[in-house]
Amino acid sequence: MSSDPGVRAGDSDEALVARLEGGDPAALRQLMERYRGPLHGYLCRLLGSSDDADDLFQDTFVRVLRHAARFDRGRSFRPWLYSIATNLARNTFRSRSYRDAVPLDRPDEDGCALVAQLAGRGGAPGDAAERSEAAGVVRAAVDELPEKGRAAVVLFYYQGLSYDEIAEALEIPVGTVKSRMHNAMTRLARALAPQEELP
Amino acid sequence: MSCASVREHLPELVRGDAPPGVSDHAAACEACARVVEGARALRGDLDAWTVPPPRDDLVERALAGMAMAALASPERGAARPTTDLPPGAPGPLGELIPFPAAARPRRRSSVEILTSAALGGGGPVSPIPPTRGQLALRLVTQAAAALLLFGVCTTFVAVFYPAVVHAVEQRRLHDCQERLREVARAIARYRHERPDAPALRGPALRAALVEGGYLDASRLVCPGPRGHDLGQNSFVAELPAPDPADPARLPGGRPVCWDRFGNHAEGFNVVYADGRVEVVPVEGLARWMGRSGE
Ligand SMILES: [Zn+2]
Ligand SMILES: [Zn+2]
Repeated sequence: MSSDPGVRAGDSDEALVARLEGGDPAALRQLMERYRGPLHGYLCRLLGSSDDADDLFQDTFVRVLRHAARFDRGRSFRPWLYSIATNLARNTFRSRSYRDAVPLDRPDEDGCALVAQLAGRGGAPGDAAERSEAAGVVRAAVDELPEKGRAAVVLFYYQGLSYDEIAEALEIPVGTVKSRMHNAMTRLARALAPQEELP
Repeated sequence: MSCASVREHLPELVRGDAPPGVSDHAAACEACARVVEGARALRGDLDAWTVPPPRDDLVERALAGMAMAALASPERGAARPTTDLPPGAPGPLGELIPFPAAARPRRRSSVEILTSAALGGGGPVSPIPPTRGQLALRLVTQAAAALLLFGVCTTFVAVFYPAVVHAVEQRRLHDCQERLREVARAIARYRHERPDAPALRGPALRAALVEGGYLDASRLVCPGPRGHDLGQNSFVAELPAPDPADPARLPGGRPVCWDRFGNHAEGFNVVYADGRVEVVPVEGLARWMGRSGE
């Protein structure tokens, strides 16, 4: 798991946004340096391309600059940043005519599905060689998730956001985040189940 | 904690940060143990999906891209052309700069001069050793003079320092424009002599210009306060791909070199292929980006 390292060091994100609103260009640079790794990684996982992630990294901060004045001081910056990035990534997907979002909230998985999947697979992850192959498999499995589930899983697992932060970033209720996470994890567990389980 | 709570916190179990009570129950409960093991295995799988680290200059490139987007926008209105001063023209505050030089030729320190004036004798020091009283008087007078001088200097600095800083900044902005014009000339000459060369930027363009003898490497550093920190990375330069219609010439309106964002407090310079220089004020960039539009 990788959360956002060092994000809380020094000035808070929110203080930097306030400085940015006051016209301090150094604050923008500082925010961008701070989120260079985490935001780029997020976009990279969502879009599957490092070059596309470069472009959307820039676009995300154009919007941060544009809307800094409208940023609600009572909110925290991180979910706001990820909501901007997620919306941009979503537009990119739409313009590339990627698959439509399949509603992930449909009750196709009962509450026990993830339990069953996890209990059924057991075992430890494979060795290094299997692991490197697994990277592609994970990527494919996450790609198979509906758009909204993909963003939620990446925000939760790879960016280390809390349910509340994800709810804010994706503009959905916390309960929906939890059910999406269960469903997405169930699908992943099924997709990543060890080979010997298959006939 | 119960089996139900384990079920509720399964995503956190996968991530590895479930609340302690959940892990404790899972460790003690046979039914949950397999689930926890599965969660750990899934975590191992998910961790295998790594992504390449971002490029080192991601932020610089993004900032330069934002700046160029502001320049290229028809609605910018914020960017204003400079007065395009001829080379060697004095900066706007050129008269202020010689001040320290004019003050230099004095031999005696200001304290000595003030002291000798207070003691009524400006001539050579008397060969007769001073008495104790004279020495004390001299010390007291020197201290008073030093205090007075300190006060004068403090006031002077408070009044004139911002103006001096501003003058220095203006001079740097102007020197930077000179360098950018040289870079633009070098890039134009390179294109003229090599109409078949591909589009170049970054280190490749630097190497082509410097090693080809088109430009001295020292001219590729912005003289602004941040320019030296960034060293060889303080300008962004670009040789556009050859125009099929006229491969030996660059399109005049095309930006070929510009400041990194933040090189100067006032804004950043950009030079076009035809040698025209613009300074884009920082607040202009912000305005273009819509922050003060409400
Ligand atoms: Zn249990
Ligand atoms: Zn400069």
